[in-house]
Amino acid sequence: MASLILSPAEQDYIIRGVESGFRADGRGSLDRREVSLRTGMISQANGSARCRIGNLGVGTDVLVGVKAEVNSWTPGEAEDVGSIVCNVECSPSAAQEFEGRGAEEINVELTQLLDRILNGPQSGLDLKKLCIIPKQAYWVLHIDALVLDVKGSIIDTLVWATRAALMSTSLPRVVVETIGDEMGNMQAEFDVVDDPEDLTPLEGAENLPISVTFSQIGKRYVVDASEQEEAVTQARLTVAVSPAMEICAIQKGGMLRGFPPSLLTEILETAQRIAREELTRFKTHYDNAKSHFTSQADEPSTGSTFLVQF
Amino acid sequence: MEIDEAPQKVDIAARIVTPGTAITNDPAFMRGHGTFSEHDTIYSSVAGVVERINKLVSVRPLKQRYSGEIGDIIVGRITEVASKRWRVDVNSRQDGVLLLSSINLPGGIQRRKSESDELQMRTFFAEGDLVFAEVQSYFADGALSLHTRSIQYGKLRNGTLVTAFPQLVPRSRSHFHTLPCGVDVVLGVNGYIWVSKHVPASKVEANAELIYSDKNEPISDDEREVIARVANCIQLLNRMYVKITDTSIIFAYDASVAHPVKDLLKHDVAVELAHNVMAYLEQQG
Amino acid sequence: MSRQELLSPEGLRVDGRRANELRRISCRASVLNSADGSSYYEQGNTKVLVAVYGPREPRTKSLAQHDHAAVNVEFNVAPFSTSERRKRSKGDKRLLEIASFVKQTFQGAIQTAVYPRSQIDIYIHLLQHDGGTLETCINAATLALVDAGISMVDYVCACTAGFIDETPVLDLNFVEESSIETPDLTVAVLPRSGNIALLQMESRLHSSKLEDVLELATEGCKHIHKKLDQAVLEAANELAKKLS
Repeated sequence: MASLILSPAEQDYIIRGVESGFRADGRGSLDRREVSLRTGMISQANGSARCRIGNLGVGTDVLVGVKAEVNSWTPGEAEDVGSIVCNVECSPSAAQEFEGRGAEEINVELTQLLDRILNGPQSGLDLKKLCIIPKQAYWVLHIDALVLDVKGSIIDTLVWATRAALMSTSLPRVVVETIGDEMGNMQAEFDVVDDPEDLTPLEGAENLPISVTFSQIGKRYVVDASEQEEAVTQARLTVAVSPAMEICAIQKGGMLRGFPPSLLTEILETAQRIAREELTRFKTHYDNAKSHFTSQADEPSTGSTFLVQF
Repeated sequence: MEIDEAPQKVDIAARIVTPGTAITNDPAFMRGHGTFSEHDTIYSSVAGVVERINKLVSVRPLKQRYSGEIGDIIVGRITEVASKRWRVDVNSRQDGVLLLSSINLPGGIQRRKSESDELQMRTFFAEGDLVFAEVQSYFADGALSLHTRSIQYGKLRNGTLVTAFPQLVPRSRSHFHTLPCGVDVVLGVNGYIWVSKHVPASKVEANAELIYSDKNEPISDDEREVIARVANCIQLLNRMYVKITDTSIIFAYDASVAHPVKDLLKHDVAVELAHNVMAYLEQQG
Repeated sequence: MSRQELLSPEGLRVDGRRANELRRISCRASVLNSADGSSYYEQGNTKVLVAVYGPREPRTKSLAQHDHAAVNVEFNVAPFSTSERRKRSKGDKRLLEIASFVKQTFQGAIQTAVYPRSQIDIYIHLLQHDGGTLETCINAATLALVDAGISMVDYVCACTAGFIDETPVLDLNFVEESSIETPDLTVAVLPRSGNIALLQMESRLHSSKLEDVLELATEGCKHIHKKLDQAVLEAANELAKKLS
């Protein structure tokens, strides 16, 4: 994605390494890099998380903030559901070409992909729960992601961070009352309780899918491609898998080469296997992040905003 | 004469200073890199360690892009092929320049450059190629002029690049090492480090075409593993901010053997190895 | 906006501070790994993240200046940073204005003549907004520039001060600065010389009061300088120890 030009010798070294099952950093085809995860660092957001995928502090780094807002229903919209609006922005701190309007294309691509994974019944979030009063008011969850650094596997990092941000999201309590007016009509009214203690966690966030991105390099494919590996990737396939092991979204990117359909079955099976491992890994990291956050609640958030230092 | 003066003066060297810190107002001193003078006082302009060589006071920053010196051995990446010259990314404040007249042409050092050489510059170096070179001089605007006029310099192949902090790669007599594990390492002073399969110099000397070849030699799985292990060792030394020299790499390599290559960049393993290396280096003095 | 009690009879402000008290400052250098320099800086609830790249080869040849480095600043506000979510376009005048102020402030402090034909990029992200955007951006950028090892003649430290009920107050938060009656002065100084690098005021203030407010803000800058210098020294000592 970010333009990295490699010499023909380097490309050959990486491709042959992948083909022989021994990648340039010693990983096997399906090995993933380390993950750092923190949650709750943006106090003005309803939920937030920062995730970095990469070893020893070098990696793709995404910060996600979730903000919930009450919207008035307008005719034409679905009557009894809330909505999710995604927005991904790549910062020029990730690559110089993202300066000014340089990131627009990639922003749109990532926003749409995230939207495809999260919006709809496959996401596991019950959008009906975000409805406050049918045909009157509903919650909108704005998911804003800021990509601070890109070192390969941007999609998977984005999904990790978003999943953690949504799991850490809690909404203010809403009191709905039905009042009759002078005409005897019953009318529903609601009141958002403005109490930082009185919050309810977002339901269903733990059902959100996780994504596994495969990069085809030479005659084989790898997961969690590094920046150098992405530079020689001929085709990319992202598979989102839910905790119930259902496939929720598939997207193929990278047009250098087509994917043979025969490979697809194998990849989907592998995706499910890896997703299961990743979900376990996610849970460990998320629980750690959460306990870290609670133990440091009174300290300046520097510690929780910033991931393990080197 | 230095010895006579030293005891009377407060030792200004080895102090850690930040931008705007006054270092000395002694008019005998001259200001060097990382300093500026104002009203006869020398101030630091960066955060770093004060160094003194005779009368020259400078501040060595702890983190900065590479700033070149003549004679430095570096690794660079070609960014542009221009008229009779290549522009080379050397991790510095501007791209370095490699003139067509500063390279060895295949077919003998004595051959004259011809117009056809200008037309086929991409057959020597193209965009993205990595080049092992030496800093020859500065241009008026501060850009580095490089040359590859030696049999060991030229295009790099058969391996992988590791990027490190330039401050960690000290200038030394030799920057090209063949490690005991059978891997060649080029320690670019600019922080670009090339790790590759060992190819005997005689082989290149025997076949001049190889200087500009893009083709890798056949690399076996075992060789690949050793290269990856060395590359990961260098990466972990870099991340832990340990000096990167042939000594520290060899020690880290030997200490790492107990772990599989892919685990070397895991946090706990890396911390443990880096501490071992630091303790070893301290012991060595 | 209704008139709110910004200063209690006991002399305490909405967030419980005294008139001449700064908000809590916490900062750290080297927080991003690909950038040449970076910093995270928070002052009260305003949080800023800065990445500095360079001096490096200019992105386009036209940006290269033959005798000094070009300084480029991009300021970005995260949509979740304010209490009401708001996504701003890259062309937002307010953002461009802040970027331009930061750029002008640092052009004088960075020794740009040391780096001809190169470019220094300062990318600022406002992650959380609670007043004093410009001051936090400048302080955070200073820290990131020092972290990148870029030659500067001095730190640049910025602070705001205002005037509530006949009392000069230091370091306004969002509630205070959005009150129409509060004059809001942002000052950036070079602490060594005491010279003013930037002075900006919104809304009116009687000229006789300006001196007091300016003095208070300058005093705040001195405190911030100490904080920043401390953070830089700590980081430098740590690296120097590892290198020795």
